[in-house]
Amino acid sequence: MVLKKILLFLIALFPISTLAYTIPPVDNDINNYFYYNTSPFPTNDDIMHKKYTNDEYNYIISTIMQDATPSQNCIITQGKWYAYNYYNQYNSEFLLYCTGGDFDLQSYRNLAGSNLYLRFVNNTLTNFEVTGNYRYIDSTQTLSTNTSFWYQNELPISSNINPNKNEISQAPIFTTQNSFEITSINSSNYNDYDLQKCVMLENTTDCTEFVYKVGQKVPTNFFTDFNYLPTEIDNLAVNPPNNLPGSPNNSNPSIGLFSTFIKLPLNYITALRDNECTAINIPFKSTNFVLPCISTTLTGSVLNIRNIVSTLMTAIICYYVIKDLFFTIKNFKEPEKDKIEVIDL
Amino acid sequence: MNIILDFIINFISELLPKIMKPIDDLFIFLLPNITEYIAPIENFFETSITYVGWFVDAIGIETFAIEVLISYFIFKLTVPLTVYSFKFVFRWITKFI
Repeated sequence: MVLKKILLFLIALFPISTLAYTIPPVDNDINNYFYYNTSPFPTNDDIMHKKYTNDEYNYIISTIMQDATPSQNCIITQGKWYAYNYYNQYNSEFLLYCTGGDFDLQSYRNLAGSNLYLRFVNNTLTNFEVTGNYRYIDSTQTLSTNTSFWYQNELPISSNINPNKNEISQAPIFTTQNSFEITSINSSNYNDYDLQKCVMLENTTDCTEFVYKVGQKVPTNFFTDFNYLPTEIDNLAVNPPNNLPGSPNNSNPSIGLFSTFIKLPLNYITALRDNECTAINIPFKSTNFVLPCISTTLTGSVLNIRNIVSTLMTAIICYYVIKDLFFTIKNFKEPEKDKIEVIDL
Repeated sequence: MNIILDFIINFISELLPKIMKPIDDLFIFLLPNITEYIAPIENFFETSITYVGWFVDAIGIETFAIEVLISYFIFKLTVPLTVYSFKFVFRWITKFI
């Protein structure tokens, strides 16, 4: 009983103490974010390029190597990275480990589209290289791995620097809409693009029917078809769709109605299992307070203590589970015991 | 264990909407505007789900422990039911033999 109380106290204490320990300054101003396209994407000879419409690809960002001075090697250890395509936001946080300048991203992103964007939050990075591997399934259903892109470029420190070809100045919008509308165009040089780069609109067969102009409806696959990326995207600004799932402006009627509520516990269980921590934003007046993930803020002995407590908790949970399972199975043999556990709804 | 859990969760997730569809359709037919009122509640829960990871991270429970707990409850709520059902059937049969 005493042990239980101590454990509960420790559990309650950890979030508070670790929050007080260190909260890294995170710039939440959306204007200071910039999004980086990991282009150029595979050439025409690339297998992914050919197979895109038939197969689904998993991109694995295997290493992020920072080519910078030694003092900058650990700059993004506590940064958050976001991978986007235009349909989904994928597993919004990477845990970055600084090991002598190499950053291993410990998870992979399953991108339906071919464009992968990285969002840097704690961005003071000046020079970096990205190598990405992707897994693909070829026509013989063989899972293979190949290097899909190699990128090296200078990142601007702030959003005021003129965007280069591969940078877009506004957040890419991940949308489930069928189409959205161009609201502004920052460049008038679209005539320079050849016809092959135009967008095939629905019910049209001629590329020339597409006009880059404000108010133009753009089909959603505009941004997912890599043929038109990244050159067309870099200067287009689009309105955020207001009917994203979970958006307060969501005007779409829910599909499934009550089944959604019944599925809620399952969704929570899935979220528990995924265990993907996302920093919590708490808007207050004009400021955003950010509660970072505890595990990213801990270092040194505090991290060690936390690991020990985690291990202890796991051991205690496992002990009680195994003990109870033992008696449950033992009771199977008892002819008189046939009590069935049910959920009390 | 992961595969089994994934299978169970996916199976129920796929099955539930299909079972509930007639009831959902009935409500949408009788109260067409109800979806508009329910949408914010859904959104609230969906938003709250995004914070689950943070709380788990804050508490420091390992994923393994969570999976053990989930698996345990799945076992506890399904296997005894199956076993005792069999026992009941066998007992019932042996009465007549």
